[in-house]
Amino acid sequence: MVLVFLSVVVYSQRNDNVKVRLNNYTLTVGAGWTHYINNLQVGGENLQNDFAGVSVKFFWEPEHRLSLGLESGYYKLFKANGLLTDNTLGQVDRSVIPALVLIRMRIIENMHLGIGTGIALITNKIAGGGQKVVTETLSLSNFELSGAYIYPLNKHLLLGGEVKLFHFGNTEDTMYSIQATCAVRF
Amino acid sequence: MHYPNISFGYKLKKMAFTLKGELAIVGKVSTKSGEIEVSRSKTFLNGGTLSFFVEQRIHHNKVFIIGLKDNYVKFYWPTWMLFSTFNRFYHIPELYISWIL
Amino acid sequence: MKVRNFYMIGLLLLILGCNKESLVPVPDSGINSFLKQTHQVPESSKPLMEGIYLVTTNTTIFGDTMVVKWNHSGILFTCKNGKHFIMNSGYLDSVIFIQGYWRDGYSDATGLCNMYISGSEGGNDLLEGKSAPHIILRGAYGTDNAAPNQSIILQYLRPFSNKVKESNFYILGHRAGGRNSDRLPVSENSIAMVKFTERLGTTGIEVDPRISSDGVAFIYHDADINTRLTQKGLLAGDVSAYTWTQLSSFVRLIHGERIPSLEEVLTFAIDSTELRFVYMDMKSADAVPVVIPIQQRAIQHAKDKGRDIIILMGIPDTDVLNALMAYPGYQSVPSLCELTVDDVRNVNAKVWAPRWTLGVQNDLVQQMHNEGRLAVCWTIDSPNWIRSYLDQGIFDGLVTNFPYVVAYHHYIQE
Repeated sequence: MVLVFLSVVVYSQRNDNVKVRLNNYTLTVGAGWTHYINNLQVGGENLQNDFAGVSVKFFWEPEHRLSLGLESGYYKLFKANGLLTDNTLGQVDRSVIPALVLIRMRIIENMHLGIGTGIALITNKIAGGGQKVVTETLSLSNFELSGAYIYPLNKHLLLGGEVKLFHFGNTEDTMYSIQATCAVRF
Repeated sequence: MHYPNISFGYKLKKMAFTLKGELAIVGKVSTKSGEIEVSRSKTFLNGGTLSFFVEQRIHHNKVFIIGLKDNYVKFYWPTWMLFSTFNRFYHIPELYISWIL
Repeated sequence: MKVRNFYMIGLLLLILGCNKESLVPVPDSGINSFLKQTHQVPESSKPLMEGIYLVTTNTTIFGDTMVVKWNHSGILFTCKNGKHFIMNSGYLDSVIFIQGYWRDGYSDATGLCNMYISGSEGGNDLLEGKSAPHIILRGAYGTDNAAPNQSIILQYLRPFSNKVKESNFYILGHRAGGRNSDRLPVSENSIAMVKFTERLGTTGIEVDPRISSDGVAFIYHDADINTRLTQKGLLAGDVSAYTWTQLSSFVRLIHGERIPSLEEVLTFAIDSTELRFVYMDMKSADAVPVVIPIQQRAIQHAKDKGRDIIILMGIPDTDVLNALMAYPGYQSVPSLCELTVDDVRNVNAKVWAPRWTLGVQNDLVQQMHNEGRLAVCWTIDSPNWIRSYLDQGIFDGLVTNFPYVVAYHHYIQE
């Protein structure tokens, strides 16, 4: 993966005829499909792990290739039913709200690769087995890898698509998301 | 701790890359709790690291560096693993972000 | 481009910083273990086999001497450097066979081991219940699952000293025997660990009680459900937020066991082991009024069964101390206090348990002895310090993650 990244970057440097952009800020919203990679050792047999997720990002885009930004969003990771020891059915679901700092680099025109890290609030809910329980865990070691295509319709409006992979360290959860994005540049 | 290291760099028009390898050598470890010295070790090879950095300008002429480092070590001082009772190596990745103002 | 002034902000961000400990498999001697063809070694023979043995081969690996000690589940051979053998035994004709595996407490090294005592080298005498000062154990050990092919010969040196035989020293297994990171074949704070722990040389255990949201006491060390202690599952977050049904349905410890209730642990320790000391290291003050009735039932059960076992409520902090002192008749609740000796007296604790890094504190330990109390310290793992504390201290027990190391240094004393 590192070699692919290097070769893309070197290629872009040698063929860099993209105009230098001005200092901009963008606010991006995205929505799309998320898929949780099921690595559960207990209770993963009847797991629902495809949902819709939303994201919001704010980027500072200076004149060079790099941009810095903040990202948040809401993703449901999984939903599962399982038989409890009292022979009733328990329903469990887990969702996450990340808050990440992102570094994004324009590779070639309109194509970007990004990496991010930050915190994430992981919420676990269970119903059944006596009572409904909601627990929240703050995960401090998380990362995101993303690739995006962002096409400017005009000076202020951009449309695009994004693929991203998240890993949340505290619960060792991994998911990916493919989203359509819409950004306002100012 | 000592980190003898070697680096190789390559510069493009607007970007520079560095590949760096280090050895991690512990000269002395002494852990104490109050007056009691819990453990002591003499010079040993703690492991090695391999890291890769990318430098480029972010704003005007300010430089931004992003890097990835793999520490393959027994003792890793930023975390509890300085006090491990085990004779094992671990892979500990680091993400490195630096902004030269 | 000149950079006149610059400040480098290096942000070191750790990602994936937690290395999951992989499991060290227990070597498997296979379904054709020859012990299946043997008879159980008579109880009268076991103490005669115990003692100090000289290692005459491979001393660089196992040291010069080994302690051999029977326990409820089998026989333990333990060395000075943390290596130890977990063995079973049986006899056929006049030969005593010993089979099992060895492991290193400080690394991943392990392997199979087979040994025997021939009739003429002690087997006959031992099986007739006579002392045998000329016992020779011969055999071989190997690496991982490979067939044993490295010679090992042990020569009986002497029995345990009178000082050791007359002592009532407690070797207390931390988290019932050791941590998950010690790569034992069973999970910490589990029934499987309570069943296994005596094989490591423990004579007592320390466990970590908590309560579920519906008031059931169970044992579990950490405050949250995490992949250090459990297989990755459906639940996450604060372990005490869940009901007992939810925990026992959806949580499995790393070796697949269920989280045990405190009642299950105490009943198992009384009914199925010969452990003599249970130290309940209370993880929350809320658990105190729930645990006390369980403790009382267990003590009565032990008394009914004629079991010699102390079951103590551990007091690790002032919150638990205050919760205990708020309980009617708290001075009659058998307890172990980790705080000051004055706190021990105020709560009428049976045992004082200071942290080992505070020193041997012989003067305070002697005061406790003069008052009819015991003293143990925790949690001591370094072999040098274990030996030092046994030589210079007068504690009645040590809490450790390496009970086989404590067992070596305790039983070898003259």
